[in-house]
Amino acid sequence: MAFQEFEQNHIFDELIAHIEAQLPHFVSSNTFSRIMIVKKNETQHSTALALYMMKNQNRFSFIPEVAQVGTHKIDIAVYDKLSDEMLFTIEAKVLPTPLGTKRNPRAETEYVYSQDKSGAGIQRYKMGYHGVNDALVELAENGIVAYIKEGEFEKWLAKINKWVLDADWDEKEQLQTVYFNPIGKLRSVHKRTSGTEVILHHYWVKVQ
Amino acid sequence: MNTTFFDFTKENGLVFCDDIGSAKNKAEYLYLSEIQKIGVTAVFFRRYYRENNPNPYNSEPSVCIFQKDDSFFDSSEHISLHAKLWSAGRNEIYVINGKTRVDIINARKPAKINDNQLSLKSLRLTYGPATTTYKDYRFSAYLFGSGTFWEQSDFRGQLDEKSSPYIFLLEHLMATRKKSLNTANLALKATTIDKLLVVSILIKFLEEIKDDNGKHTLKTIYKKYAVENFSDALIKKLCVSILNELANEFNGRIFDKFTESEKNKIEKADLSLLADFLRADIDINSRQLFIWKQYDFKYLPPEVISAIYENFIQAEAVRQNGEHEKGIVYTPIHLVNLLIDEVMPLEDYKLFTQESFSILDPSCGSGVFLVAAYRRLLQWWVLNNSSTDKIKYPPKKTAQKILEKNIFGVDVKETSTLVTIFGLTIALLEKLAPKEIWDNLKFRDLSQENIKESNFFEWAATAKESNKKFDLILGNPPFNIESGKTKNEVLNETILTRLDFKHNDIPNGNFALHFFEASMLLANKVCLILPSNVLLYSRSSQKYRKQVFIDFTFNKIFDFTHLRRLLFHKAADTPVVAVVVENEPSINAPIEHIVVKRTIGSDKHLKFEIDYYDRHPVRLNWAIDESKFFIWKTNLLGGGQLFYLIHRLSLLPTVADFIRQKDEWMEIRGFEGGNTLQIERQDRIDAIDSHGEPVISKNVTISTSNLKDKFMYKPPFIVIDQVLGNKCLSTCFISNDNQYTKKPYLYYSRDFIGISAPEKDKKTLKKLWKTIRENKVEQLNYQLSAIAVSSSCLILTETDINKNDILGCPYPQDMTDLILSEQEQILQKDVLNYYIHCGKAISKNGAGALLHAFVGKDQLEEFAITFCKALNSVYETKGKSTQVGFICQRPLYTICQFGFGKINGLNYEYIDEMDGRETKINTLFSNVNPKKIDQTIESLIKDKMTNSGAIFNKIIWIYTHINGYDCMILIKPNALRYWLPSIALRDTGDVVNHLKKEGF
Repeated sequence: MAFQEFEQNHIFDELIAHIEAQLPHFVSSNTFSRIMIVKKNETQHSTALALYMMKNQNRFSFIPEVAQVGTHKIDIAVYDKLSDEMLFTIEAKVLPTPLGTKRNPRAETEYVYSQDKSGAGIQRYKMGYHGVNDALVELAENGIVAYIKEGEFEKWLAKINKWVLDADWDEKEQLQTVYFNPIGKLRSVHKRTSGTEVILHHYWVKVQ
Repeated sequence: MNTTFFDFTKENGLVFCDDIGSAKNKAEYLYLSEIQKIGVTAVFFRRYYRENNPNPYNSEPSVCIFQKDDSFFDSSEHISLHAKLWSAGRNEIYVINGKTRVDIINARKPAKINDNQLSLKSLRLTYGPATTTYKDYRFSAYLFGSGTFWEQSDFRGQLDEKSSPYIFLLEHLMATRKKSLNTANLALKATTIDKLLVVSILIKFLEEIKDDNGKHTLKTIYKKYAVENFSDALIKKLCVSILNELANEFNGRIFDKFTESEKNKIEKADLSLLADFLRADIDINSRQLFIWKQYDFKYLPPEVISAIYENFIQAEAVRQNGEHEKGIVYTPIHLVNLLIDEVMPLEDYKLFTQESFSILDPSCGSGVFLVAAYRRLLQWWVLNNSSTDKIKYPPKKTAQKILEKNIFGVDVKETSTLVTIFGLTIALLEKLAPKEIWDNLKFRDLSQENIKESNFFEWAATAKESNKKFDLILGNPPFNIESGKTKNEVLNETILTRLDFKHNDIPNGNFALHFFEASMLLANKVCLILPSNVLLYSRSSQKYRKQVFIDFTFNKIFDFTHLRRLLFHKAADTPVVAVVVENEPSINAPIEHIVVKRTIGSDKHLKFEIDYYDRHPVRLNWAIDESKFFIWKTNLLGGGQLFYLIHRLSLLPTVADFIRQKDEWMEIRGFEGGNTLQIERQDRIDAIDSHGEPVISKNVTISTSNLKDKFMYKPPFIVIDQVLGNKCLSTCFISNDNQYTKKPYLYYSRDFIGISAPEKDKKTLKKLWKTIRENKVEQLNYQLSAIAVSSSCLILTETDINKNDILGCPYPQDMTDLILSEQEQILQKDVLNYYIHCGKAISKNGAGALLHAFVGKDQLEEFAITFCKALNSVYETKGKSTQVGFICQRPLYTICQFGFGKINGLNYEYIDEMDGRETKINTLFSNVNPKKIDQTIESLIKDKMTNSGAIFNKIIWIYTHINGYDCMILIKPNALRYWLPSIALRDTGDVVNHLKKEGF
């Protein structure tokens, strides 16, 4: 093709910008307040987040509970509606991790890892269970949204980066702060089991 | 000799018979080898390509060209040639290229009777000197290549279903059958008459296979009995004697299907009516001259003869019971051909190098699938054994062996197995010379091993126990248990235990799906016609759907739901799909959902036209996800981004959720039928008018066996009709201080859904009502929401929606969630204005004709604006944007030029080049004033349209850079369905994907 005028698209950057711009509003929206009153688990947060993110834009579709590798599901997958292509996955986490039930207790470190064979949080991206498109091809960049119920961002950053080391991962895999106002934005890069790298965008919102 | 015909070229599909080596694939090679016998000079093929492969994987002979003298037209030789071409049913038109004149003739109609003579004059589409006729754009390669030839307004009326060789013969047979049954002195049972008719057709076929000296296979027998033909034998009451002779000659019990008692009755019967029919001098109905001369049996596909019998079964059921036989439908031949090409493509001939490819039809009916499959096996054999120089047909013993080793069928009806065997026999004889047939051709009795009369499930259980496996199972199983039988008789626990299906929880105990499950036990690949609602659309089938999509690999689902009213003639009004399934667990491959639309070709039972926009790949994880159950329905309604809209709406709380959380609110269907309770002098809502006002009957008696909660009829309440309204859902609000009734209660039947609330919530209720009947462009219309999830509306019926469809509509707390984005508005508008009519008639006054109408300037401009806006949303920069250069409408197609470059640098121009339509004699390009379109672009278009496989695509993109602009030139047919704004969004998506691949 002899095209000379088109320039590289910025669809992905626009998606990231959209998420960053809308997240603070989401947390302060009525929708979110209602959710906090009646619905409390990550799935319901995800549906509300997906709906909120689809307001006022034509481009992206946020779909909750999308299949990944094997029986794994990601909390939200984002599609470019025009090209019908999955661009990004988002895993949602609540901090501190809810206790779970007696039968199914949840690991405190779930944001980063768990001893469970199917892994947790960042670990699932590293293992390749999460962070793939519908054809199971790896996505280079993915996201984690954390609903922080108590404590400051700095406290969680320290805790999480400690868990990264506890997991015996390279210290380069620790989270780096991008900014902490009005929401927290952090970035990390991890080595997947497959040998490739995955970039994670972390968005932290306070929901106290 | 002239070697230039229209804009046909070697590259775009023309092959000369003396240059057979230039055939592009085996289909062309095979056709040319066979058609050479009747003196064809050249054939123009419609070619089918796969992406990134320059060689067509399949071809169809659209146009045959004959070099003849000027006197040939309408001569007896011409009528005989026409009989061959029409009977074979392969070509659209043919050309007689005379010395000074060219005649172009419709190959889809039989010769007409004119003054007791057959004539072809009325079938001539045009004629004249070569210099002008070959410039007539109405015969352009693009039209044949893209399958749109018959869609031209000039020729639409020239296609006629009743003129197909099959329907034509069928109608005469049915008339004979009816008259025979009504003839008191015939005294034969219907079953005997049916058998006689079928045998007669087979004998007629044998009579028509003649050698070079005009001798046919049966000459010796006829000589012995001093009869001219079978018709003569019937008059002379020698029918049984001839049948006995044939039974001895051919073995195989083909001609030995009558009991002694039947034979006695036949001997005594006056068979002159049947003799008349076979002599064919007289049309039974019109008493006009008929018609065997219009046919050439040697060229008539044997499936045609097979298919006829299914109609006998239906006709008999109607005669005896006044209704069609449940579960038995006639499988149209064009559907059989589509599926055979899909599961046994000609190009896969190497599968048959060992002469082993076993096929089973589990409910073979008259054997149309088996006959077509057997013919394909014979073609495979030919391709495996021929060289470029010499075509080789299987010797009779090989042909017989192929049949006996590979073709299997089961049917519960003896008559069906009989007809299947007839059909297969004809397919076998078709390729043999008379001498070969006569010289000791002995049939094996196929009913012993191959074509079994049996309950399929019993047969399958035994087959499974003996580890039988077939390469392919294909067919059209019954959707209901046959009349007069109970489920226990056909499919009891013992059989089910023996079969031990992989999935036992079959939705609603669907009978056809039992055939599917049993087939999956016995075959590597299965292709069955199944009800579409239960497989794809019904919510209650989700669990089963998920299991089968995971455990098996569904490669393709051809969805004929839009054709529900016409696919099976009048025998059924059932939406169906044809599934192509591999017996392997799915490996996460998408399922191709092909939504077959109504076109002139499919409406006339000629062929299906499937184009790019009909294909919807469905991600496996979406296909099995209950929360995305509507994916199939959104595809049915045009696909593309519609899924995303409906999915977004599905995340919102529903009307039902809203009612549930309100105190003292209720929703219910109105009172049921019956008459155990009668309440006199009441007012009742009978309908809702388009203004949202109730139509009320006053002081009537309410008869019901279940009134339900009386609170429901006490205003205030909302009533919603379960039939889709005109521009919005049909609903009315009845206030407690209403003007409609003075009585405390206002009743409504189960045809309506009622939502009632306590008086204090009247305002909230009214707000809900207003939302339900909203039809603003920028807001969700509840019609769309209900249709998109309904498993009845546009599937089983045109307009019925049920309670769950209505109460499942979104009703969020934040009403801005119901506001549609610009692109969502486009989708809503196209579904409600256009796609909703996909299942309706496309004839002149049919609502479905809208989609096929000639696109107008305004619509093209709306398309172009939508495209530019959508592409700009991705690629526009500060100084550069996508703009429309020109829209040029030509008689055959429209060209749109889009350019990406300096903002406001392109001056839009609409170019009307439709003037060619007036004169009708114009070449594809010479009518174009070259000044109108940039020369560079014109030559690009010309190059693309004439010298490559592109003409075989209905949608052509040309990407190039001209004068500082990255140009995207789009060429499509003129029908509106290609130019809807929602299609512009799909096109934009394709361009975006294309650009992404190129690094932009």
